[in-house]
Amino acid sequence: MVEIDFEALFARSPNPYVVLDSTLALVWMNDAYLRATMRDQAALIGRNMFDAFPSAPDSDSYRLLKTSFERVLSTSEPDEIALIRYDIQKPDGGMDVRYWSATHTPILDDAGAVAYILQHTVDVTELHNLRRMRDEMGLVERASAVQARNLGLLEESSQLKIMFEQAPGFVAVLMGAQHQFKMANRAYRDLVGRSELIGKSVADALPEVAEQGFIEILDEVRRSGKPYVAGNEVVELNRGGGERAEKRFLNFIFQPIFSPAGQGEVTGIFIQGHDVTDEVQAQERQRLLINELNHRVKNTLAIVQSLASQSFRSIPESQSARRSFDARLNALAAAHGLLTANNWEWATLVDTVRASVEATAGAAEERFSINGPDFALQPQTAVSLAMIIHELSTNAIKYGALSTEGGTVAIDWTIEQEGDGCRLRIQWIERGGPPVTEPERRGFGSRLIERGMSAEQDSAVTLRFESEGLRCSISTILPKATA
Amino acid sequence: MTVEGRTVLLLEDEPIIAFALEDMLIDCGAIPLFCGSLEAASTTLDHTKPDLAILDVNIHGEQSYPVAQRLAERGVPFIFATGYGNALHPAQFSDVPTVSKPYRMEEVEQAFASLPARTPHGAGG
Repeated sequence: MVEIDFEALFARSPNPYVVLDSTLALVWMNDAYLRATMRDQAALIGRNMFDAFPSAPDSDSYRLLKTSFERVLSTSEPDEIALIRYDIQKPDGGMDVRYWSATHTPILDDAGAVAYILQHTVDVTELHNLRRMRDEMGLVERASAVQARNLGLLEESSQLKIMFEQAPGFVAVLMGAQHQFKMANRAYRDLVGRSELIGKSVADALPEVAEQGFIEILDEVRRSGKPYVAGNEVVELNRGGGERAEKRFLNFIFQPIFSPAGQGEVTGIFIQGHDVTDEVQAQERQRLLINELNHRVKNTLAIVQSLASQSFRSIPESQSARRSFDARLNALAAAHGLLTANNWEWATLVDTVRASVEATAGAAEERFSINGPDFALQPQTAVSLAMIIHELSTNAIKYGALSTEGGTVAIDWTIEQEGDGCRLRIQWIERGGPPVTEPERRGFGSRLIERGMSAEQDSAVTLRFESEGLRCSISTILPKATA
Repeated sequence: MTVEGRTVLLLEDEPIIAFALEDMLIDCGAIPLFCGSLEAASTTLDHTKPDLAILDVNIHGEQSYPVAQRLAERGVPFIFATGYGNALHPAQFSDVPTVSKPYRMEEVEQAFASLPARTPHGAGG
């Protein structure tokens, strides 16, 4: 059997070991212990543990260590201290904060009593610090995160509140089956002309609104979970608190608020919208104004027509001129009518061509084929084009393809992007009529056709009198209409 | 139906416009009965039953629908004339042909031609 020198083994162990007798006097320690405690052997041997390493008798450190020793002495059983803070006096006199883990193992004499206690102690200061740091960091992180979140929520919700309150649109929140006001912003309170809304049901706070069937709509939103969207909806409100209801046009939405659990249960209704009464009234005024203007313009055109008719009635030679004049006036009126329908902002290309053909050719309209993409024309362009189509149609009826049976007119056009605008190319092609020849004199009609679009930028009109019929090419740049 | 040989009540508050329409009707062989106001039309209808009528919708700021109602009751076919682009007539007149100013005789004739034969005397053209 190999004789093992246990003392040498313990002495050289990298782990600190110390042996105390039953009076807790230090009787032996290894180098690791001396290093850990920053002491000389001479300063420790024979000294009581608590004299060698003093600590306040009322401290946790003292109590923990003392209790552990006493337990070993009384039970003869090993005892452990998982973690103990036991500060060590440094050679310079200052105290070093240390954390230890200690095992106290009793060494019994022949009688079975505790003769010595072997203390195996591990300096876990670094470990402890690391762990603490880790824990603390985690905690701090969590704490600061929670705090920041709370702060953020607080700020956010108060900012949202301010935003809602100041929002130009009206905002209100209704909760519960009775649709009680939980919140209503200034615009909402101004709209309904009442400030005491919170806690009241819609039926109590706004009886006139209830009468107009909005409770049923709110009930339906609650029931179906589907929002209700209203555009230009008329709502009558007793804003002054009096008997007289004021009619307002409102754009709004009743948006269901669902419970957070996502059970699909509607807990309330979010109301958001704005008052468009002024816009609606302005549009209506504008519409009436333009309609009235158009009426007057048309009446004036009718008066002009009548004056011409009266003035030249007695001159038999003027009859054909009068008819041309009437027809031109009618083509102009037709273009005006189209523009009026769109508030004098635009008229579509297809409508402009068709209306002009219809106004001029009447029943012969069916001999036209009209093909091309649609485009919103500006008023001046629409009027110019209507007059050109009118003159071409008139010529076709008098001298061209429509002067004989079976002749036809094809109006085809293309639109291509060019620069900021669009290039419109119209082809007017007559077929099946008598052979046409270039007139010797350019009349008003020809001039109107050739120069009618000259107000438009970069436009060109060419007339070719071919044996099978007239061909007219119109090319112009179309600016984008405002609408 | 054509206007030739028919008595046509013409309600128009603008005399100059009425002249031209009168001339057009005369040229087509019709006999125009000009009324410059709702009262005049009402009085005319007290004494006469025209074959046809052209009613300007807006007469001195009022609308000619009461006259239209009387004509309908008496079975006289009529058309509306207006300078407004988008005339919306009351429901009972929604199918009445409407011509817009300035008038063209072809348009007026087409409008009369499109009238259903409303009455036993409707002179179903």
